[in-house]
Parts: sequence; structure tokens; C-alpha cells
Amino acid sequence: MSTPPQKAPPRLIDGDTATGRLLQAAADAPLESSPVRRERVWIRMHRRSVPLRFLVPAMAALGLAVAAGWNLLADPLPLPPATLVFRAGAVEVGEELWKIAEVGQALRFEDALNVGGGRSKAFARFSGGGAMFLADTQGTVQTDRGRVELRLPKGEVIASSNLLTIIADELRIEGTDALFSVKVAMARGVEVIVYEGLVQVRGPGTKVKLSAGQSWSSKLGPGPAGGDQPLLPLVRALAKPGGAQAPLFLESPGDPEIFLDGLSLGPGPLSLLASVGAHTVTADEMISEQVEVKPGITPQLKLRSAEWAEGLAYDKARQLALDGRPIEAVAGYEPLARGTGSRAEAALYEIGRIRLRLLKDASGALSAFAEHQRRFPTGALIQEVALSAIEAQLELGQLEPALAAMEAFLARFGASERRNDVHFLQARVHAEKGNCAVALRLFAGLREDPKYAADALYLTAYCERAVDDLSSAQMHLRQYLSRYPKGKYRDEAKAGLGRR
Amino acid sequence: MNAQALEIAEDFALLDECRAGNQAAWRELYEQHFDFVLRSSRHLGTPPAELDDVVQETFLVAYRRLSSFTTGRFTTWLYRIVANLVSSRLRRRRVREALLSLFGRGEADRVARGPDHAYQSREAQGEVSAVLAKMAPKKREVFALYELEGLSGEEIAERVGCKVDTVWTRLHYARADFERLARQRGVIS
Repeated sequence: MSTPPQKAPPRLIDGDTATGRLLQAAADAPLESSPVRRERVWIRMHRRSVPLRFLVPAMAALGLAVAAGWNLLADPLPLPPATLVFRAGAVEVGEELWKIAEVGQALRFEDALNVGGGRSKAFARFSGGGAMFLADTQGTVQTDRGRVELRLPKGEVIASSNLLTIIADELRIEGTDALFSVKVAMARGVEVIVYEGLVQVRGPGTKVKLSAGQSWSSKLGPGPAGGDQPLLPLVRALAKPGGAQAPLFLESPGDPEIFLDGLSLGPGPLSLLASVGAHTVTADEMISEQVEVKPGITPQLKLRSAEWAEGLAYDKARQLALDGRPIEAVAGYEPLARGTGSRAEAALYEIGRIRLRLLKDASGALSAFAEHQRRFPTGALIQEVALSAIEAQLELGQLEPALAAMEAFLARFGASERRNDVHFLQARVHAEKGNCAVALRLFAGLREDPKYAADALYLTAYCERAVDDLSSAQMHLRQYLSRYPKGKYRDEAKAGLGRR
Repeated sequence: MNAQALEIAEDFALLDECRAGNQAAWRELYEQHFDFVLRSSRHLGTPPAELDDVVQETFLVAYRRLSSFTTGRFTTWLYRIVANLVSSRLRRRRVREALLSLFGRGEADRVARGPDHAYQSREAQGEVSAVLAKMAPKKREVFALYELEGLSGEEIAERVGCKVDTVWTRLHYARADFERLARQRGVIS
């Protein structure tokens, strides 16, 4: 025999020898590694370690069973039959003692899911797919020789699986790469709707094959096409096993549909296993939020409405104004005023008021009030804004435009509770301009209004003196001092009567 | 980080998930190494009809013994399981055939085939498997890894756990055994 080589010799397979040609031919033999083969072996791993065909009866008694016995008795892979990965509303799990189901928990053999009414639902994921349990559903998920069996005594499930058998009534419903729903209803028996793939229904006297788009009822036979099922995208997404996942809890006021990265999850509160990392959570009329899912932490995200956020910003700006920080207050109101939210009108009004009263910027205030009247012509604050605009015009000395605005106000809001406010302003302006006859008429109309009676009485006397009706003026000054001995014009009234 | 280190790091991350009971991780591990286990099983002489069984057993053993794998390359560890299982099965089969021969069956059932037929690839694969099945485990491994898997001496040394010189020595004798057994089967002349 030759000496062993000390380095790599030429490979036989490369040589033109009988052995080389044999090895080359063998290497050319196809090696089937299809998904089917993978799935087949995977399923077999969950049945038994070694198939029975190795047990040739003639050998069984000859001791070989001892060697094979280890494999036959070995436990199959300890796979959890199913894991709860999504829960919305009231969902219980248990056998005899029911407990609130938590996402991430494995459903033990014979554990049943009990889903409450309303919008409650739960999704259990297992090897090869998963099933959504809709409201008022009870079901049990378990494994049986590699297949997952779901016993459905009551309710409805939507399943996405190629290894699932649903047992409802006396029927066995098996999906092959299928997305389908099964509903157990008292009156209509068992209903099956197939959205994708193939489904077989077998039972006593029943053998039905359904393909995508078909439906069937145990009492009514073939039915109409399944139509749309809004939960299908969610079922598809939840059925796919992801990488590392961790629980996430979501809720939103008003029960709008909650979206996770664009996928509709339905109304909250709900919890689910989400992939580790950053996610975007949105809901109608709610502020989008970013949430970071991490192992060991359960983020509890409560979505907030845009209105809620605006209310927060509004209150903050208001507090700044109260704290004597008007510039910052205006800066806080401005984004709200520019928007179209429910606080826009009030924010614009507040900007005008702050400019007028705190910043002494009547011109800026007038601009704000003009913008308000243009954008919110029928707004809730329109009367207040009109009066504030008049006030700003008076501050700027624009008496004629102010009078015109007052006439316009009275024409539009004749029955307004603020009409005497306008009358008083009109009277003051006319008195200022020397139109005492007009002013006296207006003051006479205000002397019964407790809000303006005192001022109207004194200013009546003021106007009467201006038109040289001194006796009337003295009479009204005496009346003023008699009725309002501590009134704000008491000193002027006494002086008018020569009592100083 | 080089490619090998990266592979090892990824394997460990996945294995940690498997040990933690993550079923999705276990499936991913299975998907990643299915082809490797299948190919190794065939090259070590497993008959085509038994390939699925060997793959299945390999992953079952790997699953149960996952905690014992702590360092090194996962594929090397997995290969040891494949090689041991194949050896065990072939040994059992030889016992079985010996017993069956008592009843007048077994190897004698093999139909003599002409050389042209033997070179049809599937038949050739079957013949090579049959020859490998007759070889001693250590020689079979080295022969399969060098001649069929195309690994280098260093890679084979790492996988089977011996020195490179030993690889060449085993290969030398393995080639001799292979040719002798192939001639005995009438596969080569």
C-alpha cells in the first residue's frame, strides 16, 4: 500500500477514473430540498422521532427495538400549541378557573379562550399560522400529531394556516394554505367562508371542498361569495411569526380605530405582541405617537386627541397672560389661531384682547379682530370681537369708523344683550363730539339699566351743562349724589354743584 | 468582524432565542440549517429514502442538547450529530442485514447492474451511499467531506476534531476502502 500523503491530494471527483466518474455522477444527483420537504420533516418532528416503518416485525423481537425504543419513546418537540399575541376587550383563558388572558402567554393543552361581547377579540398564533377569535367565541387550541386543532363549540374564528383543523359540531374543517372563517351559529349551523387557498369540510355524510371566494353552510349548503372581511389584513399580519417581540398596550379616547404602522387593529383598549423597535401609532382625530417596544417593558400608550392637545396649549397660553407674560402668551396662542381646530377662534380673539389691553397695541388688536371677522363671520365670539374692534377703534381715535361699526352692530344684533354697551359707547362718542342732543337721548335710554344708570345720570348732567340747561344739570347732579353718594363721579358732581 | 465571526455571533443570538423557548427562532434555525443537514446526511451515505429521517433525528437531538453547545461553530456541532446518527443507523442496518440474511434475504436481494446504468446520477448516488455505508465512520466522514463536500484539510480537521495530518492519513485509507468496496459491488471495474 502506498504512503499516506502529507498535503491535499487531487480530488478523485476531478479525475478521469472509474471512481471519479462514479463520484461525479453521484454529485450530479439532485437533492430535493423543497419547502414541502422542509415542512414535511418539521411536521414529523412533532409527531414521532422515528417512523414506524423501521420496525420490521421480524426484527422487533431480536433486540433492535431496544435501540429504536429510545426514539419511539422520546418526547416530541415541546412546542407550545399556541400563544396569545393579540387581545382586545374582555378575553379570558382557562380550563376551569378563568383568568384574564395576557398577550405573550402560551395556551396550555386544553386551555380554552373565552372572548367577551362587543368588540372583543383575540388572536392565537401557532406553528404555521394563527386564528382570530371574534366576539362571543369560545374555543380550544391544541396540537395533535403536528397539526393544530381548534375546537369551536361557539362563535366565529378567522384562521390563516396550512396546518389547522377546526372542529365544529361534528365537522372537521381543514385549510391548506388557506385564509378562512368558521362560524358556529345555532340557527345556521356551521358556516365556512374561504378567502384564500383551499378548505375541506368533512363529517358524517359531508365531504365538501371549497376554494377562495366560496362559502358553505352545514344547513344551507353552498352560499354566496364571502365578500370583504375587514379583519383579514390584521389576521394575515398576526399569523406571521416575527422576530423578537414584546407586549404593547394601546388605548384611545372615543374608541376610534387604532393603527399600528398603518395596520388597523380596531378600537382599543388592546394589547399585542409587537416586534421590538420603533412603531407609529395613530387613530382618527388623534395625535400620532411614536412608541418604542422593548423586551421586558410593556409600553402603555394612550392616544390623545388633537383637541386635547389644543386645549392644553390654550390653557398654557392663558396662564402666561395671567402671569403677566403677554408676548409669550401671544406666541402660545398664535399656532392655535393659525390652525383650524376648535380653539382657533378663541385664540385669535385672545390675541386681539392681549394686544389691546396688555400690549397697548390697538392697531395690532384691530388687525386680529378684522381677521377674526373675516374667518369666523358666524363664530361664537363674533359679538365680543365686534365690540372689541370698536374699543380698539376708539383707542386709535377713529370715532367715525367706530360709530359706523356700532350702527352695524345694532343693525345685526339688535336683540343682543350687549346692545346697551353699544348705546353707552355711542352716547360717549356723541358727547365727545359735541352731539349732546343725541347723547342725551341715548343716556336717557340707559338710566334704567343698573349697569349704566349711574354713569348715564352723571353724563346726562354733563351734557345738559354743555348745552346750557343748567337747572336740569343741577337737578341730575343732585340726584346722582343722592343715589350714588360713593359713585365714581361724586367729586365732579359736588364740584358742579359748588359744594367743594 | 469577519464573516466567520459574524456567522458565529448570529448563531449564538438565534440559539439564545431557541433556548428561551422562542418557537419562531427554532423554526428559523431549522430553516437555516436544513440544507446543510440534508446534504451532510447524503454525503455520509444515508440512502435517499432515509434522508428525511436522519434530518428529523438530527434536529430533535440538536433541540434536546442545545444547552450543551456553548462555543465554536454551530454547523460543526450539528455535523457531529449528523455523523453520529448516520454511523449509528448504518451500524444498526448492518446488524439488521446480518439478521435478515439468516432468513435468506438482505444483500443478496441486490440486483446486479451494468456499468452504464450505474452512472445514471440517481443510481450512482445510491451506489455511493451504499459503499459509504460499508466504510468505517471516521474514514467515511473524511472521504465524504473531502471528495463530496469539497472541504479543505483544515476545515475537515475542525469538523471531525483531529489534526490535518490525520485527515490525510484517514483519507488515504478511506480511498482505498471506497475503491475496494465499490469493486466488490461491481460499481467500478
